[in-house]
Amino acid sequence: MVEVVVVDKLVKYYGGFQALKGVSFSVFEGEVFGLIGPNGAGKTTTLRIIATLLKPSSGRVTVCGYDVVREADRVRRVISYLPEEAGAYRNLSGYEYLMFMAKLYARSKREAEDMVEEAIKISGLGDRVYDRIKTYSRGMVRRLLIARALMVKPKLAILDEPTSGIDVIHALHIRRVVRDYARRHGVTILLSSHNMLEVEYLCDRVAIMYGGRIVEIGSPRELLKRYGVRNLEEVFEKVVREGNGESMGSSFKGVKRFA
Amino acid sequence: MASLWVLVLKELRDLLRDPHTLVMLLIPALVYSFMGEAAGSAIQQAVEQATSIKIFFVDWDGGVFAELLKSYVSRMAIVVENASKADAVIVIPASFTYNLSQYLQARVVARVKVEDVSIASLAIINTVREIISSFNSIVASILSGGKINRTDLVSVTVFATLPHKTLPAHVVESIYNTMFTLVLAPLIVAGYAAIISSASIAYEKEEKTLETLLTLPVPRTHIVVAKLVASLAAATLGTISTGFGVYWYTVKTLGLATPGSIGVVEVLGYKGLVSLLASTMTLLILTCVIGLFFGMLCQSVRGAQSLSGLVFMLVFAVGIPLLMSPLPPNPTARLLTALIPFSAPVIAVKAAIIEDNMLILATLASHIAYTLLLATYIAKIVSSEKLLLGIRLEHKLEKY
Ligand SMILES: Nc1ncnc2c1ncn2[C@@H]1O[C@H](COP(=O)(O)OP(=O)(O)OP(=O)(O)O)[C@@H](O)[C@H]1O
Ligand SMILES: [Mg+2]
Repeated sequence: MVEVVVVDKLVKYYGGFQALKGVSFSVFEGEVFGLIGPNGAGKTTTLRIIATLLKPSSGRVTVCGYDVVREADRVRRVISYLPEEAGAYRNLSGYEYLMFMAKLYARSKREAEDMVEEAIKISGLGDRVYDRIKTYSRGMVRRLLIARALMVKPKLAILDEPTSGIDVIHALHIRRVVRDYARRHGVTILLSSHNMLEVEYLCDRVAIMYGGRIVEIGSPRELLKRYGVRNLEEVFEKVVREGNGESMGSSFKGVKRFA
Repeated sequence: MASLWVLVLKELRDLLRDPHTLVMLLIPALVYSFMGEAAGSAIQQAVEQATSIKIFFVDWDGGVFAELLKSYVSRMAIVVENASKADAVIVIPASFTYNLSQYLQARVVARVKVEDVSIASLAIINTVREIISSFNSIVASILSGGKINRTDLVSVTVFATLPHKTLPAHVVESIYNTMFTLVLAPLIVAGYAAIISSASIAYEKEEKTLETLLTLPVPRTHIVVAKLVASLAAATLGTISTGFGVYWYTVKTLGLATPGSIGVVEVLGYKGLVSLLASTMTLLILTCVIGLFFGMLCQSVRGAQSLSGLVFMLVFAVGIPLLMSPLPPNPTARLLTALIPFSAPVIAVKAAIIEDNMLILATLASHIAYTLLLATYIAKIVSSEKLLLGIRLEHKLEKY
């Protein structure tokens, strides 16, 4: 299997605060990989480093073989990043926004138009796509942004809490699109989420982060089996609550501020 | 009522905890008192210079009234024996005594030496004019024992001798006004340019669009250069429209440049006009780049705007006193004034009037150099994570 993302002993300090304490994992081609964990675990920090926004304090990250620090320009050409908290230019229409983005990726006008057409379908915005973004609801903006991230068919889509703020129906639609995209276009997807249902449905593999470390990794089914529970929520709860370093394996020892 | 007080308290707390408020409260006090001090000392210097003015007489008359004039002047100014040491040369025409004794008008010509057009040159011109016209009362009292009070018997025509040309005094006065008009638009817009460009970065942070922008497959430098170009275009349009506004206000409304006074081209020449345009552009680019830098420092539009409001103040604090003061006579010192940030349009206009090409080049060069210096630093920030996280002083301090 081809590794699209390789994260190796990643450490990140914000000033004096250590947000990541040696994170390692790989994401394989065509896979949907989920990062879960409580608030402040380091999910966004990890995704931002992979998206070339932050520099690792130490450790190494490659995307499609390109180093995110030394070959950031190349990495940016193969990824598409959806930030956790993102806006879109309020004075543009959704269509104009998508077109602006498409032109930066497409090699021809035709290709750009195809991308935008695809994006309109993904977003489910319909005719509202021609309205100014400032008239959109929060969920509509989110859908626009997801559509813009996926329409370019990147090698790797990095989606930080993609469906946060989106209603149930649209979230279902988005999840189907994400899955469909990964299958159909060979797009590898790395996402974070607080929605365990979403993660169970979407992800081929999941990593649970806690206190700047990865404490569990595996397919949802493996994790359920390992903990003898029925759903991921219970796995999550067990990992976070009961974790005392004995049952979780060596990587989990020495987490001080644990529960 | 109680709820109003709670709200006011919250507003005040929010304002006072915002470091930008502190900046807005403290810096203007410093900047404007500096500006007042600088302008005040320019005026002070001009007054001092005008009261200790050195005058050389060329006396073609030799008559009693000529002698009287000289001794009258010597009480108010220093009469020197060497023309090259004098600030002003007063020429008494051959017919001076004869004309006055016949109750006819007598005209003297004064040539005032000035280094450039400043408030000091205006002061000297004015002093010479006043000394001579006050001589009228002496003449009148001698001629009629004080019975007639004519103030038009002795008149004076003052010329200003600049390094490269001699101009009638009223032209120099009009140039001074024109100079103000010319540089006012660039000075006003320079501040706005900083505000526009800083907001363009801070807006991306506030609207949370920056993070996406920074992961797009475009070079980071393009993102910043695009912002620079757009802000600069806005600033250039702003300069043109402000220029029209200022022109309308000063010329049409205040009537500062009256008919018969001279136009911009006559003041500066075409070369001067080009140097004014070039210096305006270098100033605008510099302030735009400073604005970008401030935008990177701040996380919100409010912060960015209040920080770049400082540029607005600094530009005026530098420009206005510089416009009023004479350039230093020493060539090296003169070139050093070109190093003062934001001085470009003022120095360029002054240099164009006295045809000092070196000075024009120096002021353009210094501003371009500052721009490049800051641009390299910005390029560093742009390729790092600082653009997203902001430049945090606390983190720097923690390291020590
Ligand atoms: N810019 C920053 N400066 C300082 N500390 C930061 C910064 N960003 C994040 N942190 C800290 O780093 C840690 C990890 O934050 P991160 O945003 O990666 O968490 P997360 O797992 O994405 O949480 P959430 O589920 O709330 O999104 C937190 O303790 C946070 O306080
Ligand atoms: Mg997060």
